Amino acid sequence: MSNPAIHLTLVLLLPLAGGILTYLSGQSMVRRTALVGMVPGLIAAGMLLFMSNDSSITIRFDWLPGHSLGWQVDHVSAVLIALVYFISFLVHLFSLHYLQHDPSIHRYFAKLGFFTTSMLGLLAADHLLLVFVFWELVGFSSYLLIGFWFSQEDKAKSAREAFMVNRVADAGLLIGVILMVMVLDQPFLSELSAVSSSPLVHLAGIGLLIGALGKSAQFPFFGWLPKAMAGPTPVSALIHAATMVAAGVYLLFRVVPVLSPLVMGLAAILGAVTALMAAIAALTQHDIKKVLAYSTISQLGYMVLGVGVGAYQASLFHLWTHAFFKAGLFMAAGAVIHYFHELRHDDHEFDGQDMRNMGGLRKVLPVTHLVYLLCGLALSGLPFFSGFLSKEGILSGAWIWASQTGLWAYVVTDMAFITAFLTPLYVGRQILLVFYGEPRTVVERLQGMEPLWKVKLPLLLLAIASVWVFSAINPFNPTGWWLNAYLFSNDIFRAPEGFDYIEKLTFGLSVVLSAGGLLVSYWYFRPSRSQAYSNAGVPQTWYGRLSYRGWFMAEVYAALAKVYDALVMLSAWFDRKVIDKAVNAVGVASVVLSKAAAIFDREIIDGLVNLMAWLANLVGRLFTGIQSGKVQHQLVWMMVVLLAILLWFQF
Amino acid sequence: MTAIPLTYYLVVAAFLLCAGLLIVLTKKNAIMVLIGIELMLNAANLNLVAFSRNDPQLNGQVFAIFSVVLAAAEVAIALAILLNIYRKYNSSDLDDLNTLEH
Repeated sequence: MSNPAIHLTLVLLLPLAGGILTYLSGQSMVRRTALVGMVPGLIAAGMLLFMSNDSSITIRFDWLPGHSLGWQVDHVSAVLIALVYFISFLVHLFSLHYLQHDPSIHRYFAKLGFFTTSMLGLLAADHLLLVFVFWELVGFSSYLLIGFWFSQEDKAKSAREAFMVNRVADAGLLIGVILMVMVLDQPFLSELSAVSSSPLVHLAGIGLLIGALGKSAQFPFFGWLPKAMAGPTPVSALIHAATMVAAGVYLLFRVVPVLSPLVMGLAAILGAVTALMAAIAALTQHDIKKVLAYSTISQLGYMVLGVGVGAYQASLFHLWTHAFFKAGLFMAAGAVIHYFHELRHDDHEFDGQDMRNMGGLRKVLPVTHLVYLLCGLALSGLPFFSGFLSKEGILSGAWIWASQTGLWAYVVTDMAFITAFLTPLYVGRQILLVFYGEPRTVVERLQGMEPLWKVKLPLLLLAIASVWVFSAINPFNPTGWWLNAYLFSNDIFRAPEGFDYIEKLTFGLSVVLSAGGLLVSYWYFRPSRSQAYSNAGVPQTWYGRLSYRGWFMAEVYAALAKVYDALVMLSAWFDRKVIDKAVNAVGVASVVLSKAAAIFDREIIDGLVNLMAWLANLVGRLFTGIQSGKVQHQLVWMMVVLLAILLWFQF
Repeated sequence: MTAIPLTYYLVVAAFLLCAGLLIVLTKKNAIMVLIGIELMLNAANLNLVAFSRNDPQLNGQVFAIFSVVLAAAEVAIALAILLNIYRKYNSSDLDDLNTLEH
């Protein structure tokens, strides 16, 4: 396999091919065919890491004469491709357990393969048009996966809503891509260079930013991600933790060279706002997956903030660490949901995702509990876990940025720090409510809930990856380990001269905030208190409802849809009353004009022709009198004419 | 004896011509029209003879003799045509011979 093009094609297409094979061979063969594409693909993706080690794999080909498209796999792409493959492989494994009783499981694997290929294509694409194509494919395949249980109307509706919100943001991306390709002439991601001459740079940057905000579920688009929890939980682990939502951050990371300071500032503000809003929303959710959904939004907000403040290496690093611990959390949540589904599969009223029904699960799901704990601590940013390393980079980047930008920028930084306190709060709350205390429903140990290969292996792998050693050798400093050396040649964001104190302060503050958040959560949800939680209803205070309903994003979208509806009605009315009337008036005017023209034609043109005919007739009639046919009349005329001629010559 | 002045001949000839013309234009019978034509021819002959008085070569008189001969031939042919017309239309009235009419 020396040819990089063939190798790359294989890497990209193997998941899809495996998915198609699984689909065609049917439900009964799923156990044997589900991993056919993933295992060789995973190996090939691993090889890709070494192939692109010395120099990036760049493939250019002519699409149309004068227009070339291209792929490029540099270190970042290779690492992310391997990451996507790894998570996707674990999700394939876990899905075999999670969906074992589903009659259309083969369709599920086909969609999963399709999604994985789309995501890989997005990571390998170099030309912005290809990026856009795969971007849309990712959106479409995620729509298929969210709506996997499409026979349940509310889930199909959620899939539709998620897709539509993405489509709205994609319009922004399309504008950005068109501007970049057609106007700014910078179609290749690997060859971007700063252009500041044209004011269109701002517009293109904002367009790309809107696209990224939509895909990464940032304010004001984040309403779709909680809705997307309607899909199977392994799908949430893959799509809404590690891959699809990371696409927005990845795109921002790639286009950083052309982002103007204005767009960067906007990204920082929106990222911080989203991080804070989503963290607040996560505090009051009852649904185990909704907490994770809002926490994902919040963490993605961190990444967007990181790009905005210029610490984009830290953002990418956070994307990497977040992919593992969030996928682990989602899969562990899936194990919990699956457990309740098996336990109470006769009871259709029972909500297996509602944390009010949980509690004390550490005894029945020990491995899940351990994994949830490790990944949750990584999410809350405790030292010795991966989340601490990356989040600290973003926070110190934001602080340094604020100190260089101005006083107002500290608001953004403060929001990020408040979020850093809220994150352990909701993580602790969830872990305590789900796994500790006394069970709030009757639970018992079930056999085969945590099979070794399909559940323990993926969960434990993800939990191990959430500990610091996987991402950095030094638990307090991400530099100097293979990942950073490979990704950035150890050129990670460092504080400029004179800002060392900020790094140290951030370091201390992060530890204090995360530990404090966990302690506060323990105070409020300690096992002796958690029994009362089973009666907790929907929050009644205004701030509680604001948080529980996710800042009423669904209502905002509905209102926007209403406004849109009204606009449509208005334009319909305008069309009917004004445009149609104008058209009709033009029609009437043309009828009148043609009538007038007809009259003119008939009376004047025809009249002239008729006059000529009448004149000819008159002359003819005049001379028929001469031609009486009588000899003597002709003789008279001859005489008259002769006399006339004679008279003429005479005088 | 003094010669009769030329004017007298011309007046007589004009009178003959006018009389002939009147007959040609007014009479309905084709034979009467022929007679009118003869009168007009004779008026012309008279003029030819009268003018030839001043011509030592007498070309006018020679011309008049030719004209008389031609008139005889013309009358013979014309009467023959008239006979045939009469046979075909049972009439010698010029008003009835109007097949040239539109």
